[in-house]
Amino acid sequence: MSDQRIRQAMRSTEEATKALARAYANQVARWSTDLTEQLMINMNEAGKFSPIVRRSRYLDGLIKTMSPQLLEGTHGLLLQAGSFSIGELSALPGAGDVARPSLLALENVAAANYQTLLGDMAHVTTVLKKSLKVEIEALFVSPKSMYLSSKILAARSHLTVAQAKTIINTSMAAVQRDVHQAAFSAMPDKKAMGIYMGPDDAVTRPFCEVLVNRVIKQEYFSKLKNDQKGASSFVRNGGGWNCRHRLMPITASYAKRNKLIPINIRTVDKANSAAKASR
Amino acid sequence: MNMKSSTDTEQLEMFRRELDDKIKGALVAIASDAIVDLRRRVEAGKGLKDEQMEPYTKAYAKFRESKGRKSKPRTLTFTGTMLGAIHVADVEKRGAKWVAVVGLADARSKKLALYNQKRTPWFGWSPSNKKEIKQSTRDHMTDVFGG
Repeated sequence: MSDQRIRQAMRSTEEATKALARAYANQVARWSTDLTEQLMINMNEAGKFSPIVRRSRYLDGLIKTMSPQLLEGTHGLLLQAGSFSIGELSALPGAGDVARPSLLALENVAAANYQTLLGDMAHVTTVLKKSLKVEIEALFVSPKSMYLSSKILAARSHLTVAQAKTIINTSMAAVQRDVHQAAFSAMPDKKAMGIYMGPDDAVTRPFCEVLVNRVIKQEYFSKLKNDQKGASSFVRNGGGWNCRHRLMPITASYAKRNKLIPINIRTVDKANSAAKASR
Repeated sequence: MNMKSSTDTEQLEMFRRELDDKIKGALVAIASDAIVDLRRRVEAGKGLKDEQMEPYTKAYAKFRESKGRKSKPRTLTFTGTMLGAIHVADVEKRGAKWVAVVGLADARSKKLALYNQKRTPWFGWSPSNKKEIKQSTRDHMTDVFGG
């Protein structure tokens, strides 16, 4: 009989806890909706946020102002749940001798739980603030930052963030090279030439190292092989994935004035061999 | 009489178009040479007054070295995207003048360029760049109009 009562008391306590969790979840959902509405006030007809939304101070202030709403009525809920379970326990045999639930004791239990909840809320608002910032940045920044673009691409594919970054870098560089190609075709010089510009440092590929700051005649463009799978076109990809070099169009008169001697076929072979050797 | 006048106008119009094309091509060439000259200056660590740009901060220099990049001089190159974005944006006739516009191809590079410009002015034509542009203009315009 006593076991049955204990089980019943446990069940009731469990149900009371579930009801409390449900009520609280509804409260958090209402709060999130209110927060979003507050943010939407700063959105114009074109669907763009005003610059103030991006300020950390604004978002911090908004969450700080609205946070008390999260705890509204929770004290009552805790008190109600506590009262219910302690009331159930009082039905147990000898409970009167073990514990006499007073209003003060009930208040203390509720207050302790309220403090715990407050601590949890600080964590919830911090996480929410961070995700809100990312969302706002994504809506606001045009174009997106490299980090954000990489993160979005990685999230939408099976790539890692580093792989996504390589793809974005390489694609952007390819677009820039296309733009330079347009200048090549618009130049009056019949024999177009380019200068291979970019850094020469510890991470420069051997292929690029041979060509950097050298003048290359157009007839050699197709002969240069960087040996990079998926980014093998010298004109579009330079030295390959993540290549930081650009083939900038120049005129023969500029090269002559600045004593820049165009490379010959031997240098082309040297670059190609370097690319092969470094694989 | 009228027919002759019409042929003259057509020939004049054709000549004008040919000349415009030649000038346009020459301006693309001048601007392209100017961009290369600007990049060569920046890659040598020189600013808008042909002066040596101030060095990177110690922390950033250390970061660059850890990523295999050179820490001096200040070359404004890490991924190569910003300097690679400089291009001949437009060549157009504005009234009696011909204008070549040199700019940055994408918004991210523009943002970065502006940030660097505030720190150490680099974008634009330094005295040595201007000298080169003058020489280049002389050469290419001689080709167009004959010298």
